[in-house]
Amino acid sequence: MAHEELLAGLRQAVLDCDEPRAARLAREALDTGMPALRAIDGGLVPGIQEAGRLWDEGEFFLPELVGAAGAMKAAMAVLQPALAGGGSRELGRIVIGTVQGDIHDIGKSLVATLLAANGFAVSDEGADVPVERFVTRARELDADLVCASALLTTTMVQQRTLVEALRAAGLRARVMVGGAPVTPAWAAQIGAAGFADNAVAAVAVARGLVRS
Amino acid sequence: MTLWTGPLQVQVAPDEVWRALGYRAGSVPSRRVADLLASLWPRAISLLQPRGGLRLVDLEQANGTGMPAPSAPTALAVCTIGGELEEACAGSQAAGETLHALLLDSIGSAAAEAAADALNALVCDEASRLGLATEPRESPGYGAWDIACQPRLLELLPAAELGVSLTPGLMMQPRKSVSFGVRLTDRPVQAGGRCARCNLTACRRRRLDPPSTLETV
Repeated sequence: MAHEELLAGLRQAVLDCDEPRAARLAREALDTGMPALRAIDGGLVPGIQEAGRLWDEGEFFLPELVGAAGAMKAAMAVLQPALAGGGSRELGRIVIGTVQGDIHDIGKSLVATLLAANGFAVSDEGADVPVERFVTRARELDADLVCASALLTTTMVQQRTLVEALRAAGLRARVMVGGAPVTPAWAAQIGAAGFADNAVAAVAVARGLVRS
Repeated sequence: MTLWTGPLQVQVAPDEVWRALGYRAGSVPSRRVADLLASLWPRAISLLQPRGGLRLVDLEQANGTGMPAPSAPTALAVCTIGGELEEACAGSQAAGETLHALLLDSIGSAAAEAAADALNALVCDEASRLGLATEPRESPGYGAWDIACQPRLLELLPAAELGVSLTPGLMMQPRKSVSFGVRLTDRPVQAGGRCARCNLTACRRRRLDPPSTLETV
């Protein structure tokens, strides 16, 4: 298969949420001598960007977006080892989790999945994460961003504690917050650098925060 | 005194699952997503263990739950779909199957609402027997009912018997559980859905149009 055809196939496999096809085409791309970075930038990235555009236009919904991210992840698993020494396209390092006392996991995991699919190195710490663990992981990874989710008014106060703890630890990581009761006003009030009310917005906000 | 506790008969409507996933009337899920939901459906339904309990309380007890402007009597209720679907969802997530987890979680959300509807219907039956009507159900954490009141509500209900407990953050476990109160009244109740009666127009849960059965491409 010609390189252009492979790139179009990779893009389409992402849009079709087809993990096996995406992985197979990624392997085929490497077998034909295509640099991994070209397969990513010419096939997978346009696919995930198109998925985001279709979401913006109301043609894709969360499951399609998550499926597209899954296909991208499957292809990246094949391409990643070939990237070693050949350049990295990591946009930034992110630590993500649901705050202590809160056991909701799925929304945070969707954000983590989309961040990873869009080129961030994501360390997902799960749910019920103590502030100390966020701080430790941010230090270990020299994280650009810490994302904290809270689904209840009783647990969102942990986001404020996190902002203060990161500041006290002298870490450079900025904080993005989200979750059902969280608002831009709350984010501003606690000194968080960013707020997102859905997974797609989280990717855009994260991009902006690591650039600025 | 507990008026009733036991298993609930629930019918989970696929349209409610699509709605929980964000689709609206006229939306077209991709074939792959629709096929995956169809393949997960039988196992997900088999994992449901819907059960609930309810009781009628007097005004003093109802006031003790923090429910805004309760009636005499007020119906209090709690239901759950159990923890097995939640475990399956967590398993999918741990295996990196995020889409599977998302779909299972949404089936669980729709099932929990269906369980609450079934329990609410029992409240309506009881109200009818007493010659009363029911207002829409309300839950702690929504509107003016403070989530901090959740423990006081569950204390009056057979929560432990149903396997429902609270985390330190006042979240119910299993997560797909619903607690609520219903005012019983002898006044006429405004017809229409809950969202039609609510003036919180910016609510992200607001249901604008009932979805028709979705088609797939």
